[in-house]
Amino acid sequence: MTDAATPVATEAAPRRGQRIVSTLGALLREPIGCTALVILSLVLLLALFAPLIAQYGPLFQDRRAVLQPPSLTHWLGTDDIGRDVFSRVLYGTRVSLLVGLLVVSITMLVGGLIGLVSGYYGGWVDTIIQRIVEALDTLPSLVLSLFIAAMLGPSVRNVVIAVTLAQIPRFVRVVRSEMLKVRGHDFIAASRVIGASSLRIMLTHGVPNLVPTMLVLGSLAFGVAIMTEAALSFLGVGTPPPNPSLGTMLSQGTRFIGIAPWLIVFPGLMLTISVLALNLVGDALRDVLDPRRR
Amino acid sequence: MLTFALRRALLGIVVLMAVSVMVFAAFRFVPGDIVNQQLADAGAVTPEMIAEKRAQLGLDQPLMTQFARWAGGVLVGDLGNSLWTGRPVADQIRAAIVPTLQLSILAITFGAVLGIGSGVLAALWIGTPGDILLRLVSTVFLAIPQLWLGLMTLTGLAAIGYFIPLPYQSFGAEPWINFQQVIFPALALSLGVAAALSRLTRSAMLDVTGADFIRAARARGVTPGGIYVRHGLKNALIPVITLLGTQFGHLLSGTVIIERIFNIPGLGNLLFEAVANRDYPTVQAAVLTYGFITITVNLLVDLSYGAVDPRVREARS
Repeated sequence: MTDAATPVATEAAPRRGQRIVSTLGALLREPIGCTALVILSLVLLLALFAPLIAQYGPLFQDRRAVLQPPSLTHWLGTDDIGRDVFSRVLYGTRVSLLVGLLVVSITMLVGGLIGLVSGYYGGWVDTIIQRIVEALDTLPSLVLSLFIAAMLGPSVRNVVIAVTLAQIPRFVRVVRSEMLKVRGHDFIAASRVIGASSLRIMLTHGVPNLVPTMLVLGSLAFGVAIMTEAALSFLGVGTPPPNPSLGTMLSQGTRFIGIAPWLIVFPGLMLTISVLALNLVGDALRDVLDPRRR
Repeated sequence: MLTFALRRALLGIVVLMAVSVMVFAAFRFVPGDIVNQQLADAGAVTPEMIAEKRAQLGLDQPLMTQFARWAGGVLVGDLGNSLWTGRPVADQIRAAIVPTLQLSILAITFGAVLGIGSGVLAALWIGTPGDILLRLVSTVFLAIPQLWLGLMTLTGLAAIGYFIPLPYQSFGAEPWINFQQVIFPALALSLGVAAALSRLTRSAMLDVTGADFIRAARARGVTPGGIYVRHGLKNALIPVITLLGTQFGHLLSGTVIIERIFNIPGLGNLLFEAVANRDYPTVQAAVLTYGFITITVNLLVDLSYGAVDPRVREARS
């Protein structure tokens, strides 16, 4: 394997493209990582092309086919007002993935930045940031998300805010400790001696060294974000109906728990498959990127 | 050891204060309040009615005054009255905390037994189909949302024609009914914890069993079982206890969902309803109670390191 993923890469900029390709290659050579990537791509394609794949609209009601079990016309059955479960699962996955993607991007950016600053500068900046992170971390993540989402009212944007705020502490903490490790190296001192600014040092030396950690954390956080979105929607403070969300579908399904199990089984199965694939990709990435595990 | 415990406890109180300030501030920055909510059904609402209601609830005071009054009350054990039901918040919290603690302690116990047990087995059977199966199962259970696990438990029970008795009964009043109401949600909550613990216990055991003192014990003629439990597990326990602490937070998140699915009137249900009604004192108290539980658990985890590892005990004294 190449040296592209060694923990301290001093001249990462010219090799960045090569690094992504080699990471992806290493991931595909791992049987579990490869399977997980394939499943994840499938889920992604299903969600992306939902309008082409689904035979019905997510809101289309067939009043003559209410609470139908899975059949050839309705692959995963219908709900209590005749909506096609398969179509709604596809559209719901879209919402889940969208929320997950937004949460992970914002968390990486904001959490990464705060952690970078906290670890690089140390001192009172670090102390204040760490106390805030500690206070946020004291609350169970769903309690925090529920509190924020309920405060802001149900909308996709607010769900993203609520889930992101609960995810940021972990990112800040990990990025900070990685930055602390990087900061002690001689090449940082050398850059400072030749007159590089703090911003420049953070961007050219800090960020490239954090990429592996961020990728692993990001894929795991993606799964957590999807689960939290579903939980919030289930509690009625997430994605507002009639938009199909996997959590809302599960919530509506609870009323028919002994009568129409397919309303519970399939949305949850989709949720689990997505999270499982993301976790496995995260695990495989960790193995590929961590030189000690090779 | 005692000074260490006191220092940690003091730090916990400081963090708790920071949490309460955050919660208090968050509420006030967001539009819409209980007055609009309560008067929404009243029909014609005049500005005078709103002002009167606000004064009655103390919401017309400056923020600092409101916070000082509330914080002062907390210190003497008075959490104020619910803006919604008018009952003392402390009573509501006391009633709600019992089912939540019962559920989470039961779940963490199941999780610890299942997780540590299967982790030790997997390490013992390393490379065999049993090991692979256990790892596969724990990977899958780590990915199943607690929400779905809870609903699938209900679905499964309905499929075999069993329905959990309702309404909720406390253990003191109806132990057998309470047992049926709590056992299934606790099991559903515990599986995720067990999965995480199982993976960690396995790798921690494998790290330890490679160590010299294990080889020395084997050379002395200690039986394999003795080595695993007395020498291996005891030394693998530190990371496991750490994870147990973090998993407890995860588990508390799960109780919010599970309590709603299984109709258990715990802290999660209380918080959910209070948030929906913008019942400030109840939300503050519920959130603070979650923070208090987490901090207590973290303190217990910190203290237990000393119990497990004599080196930690010496370093602290």
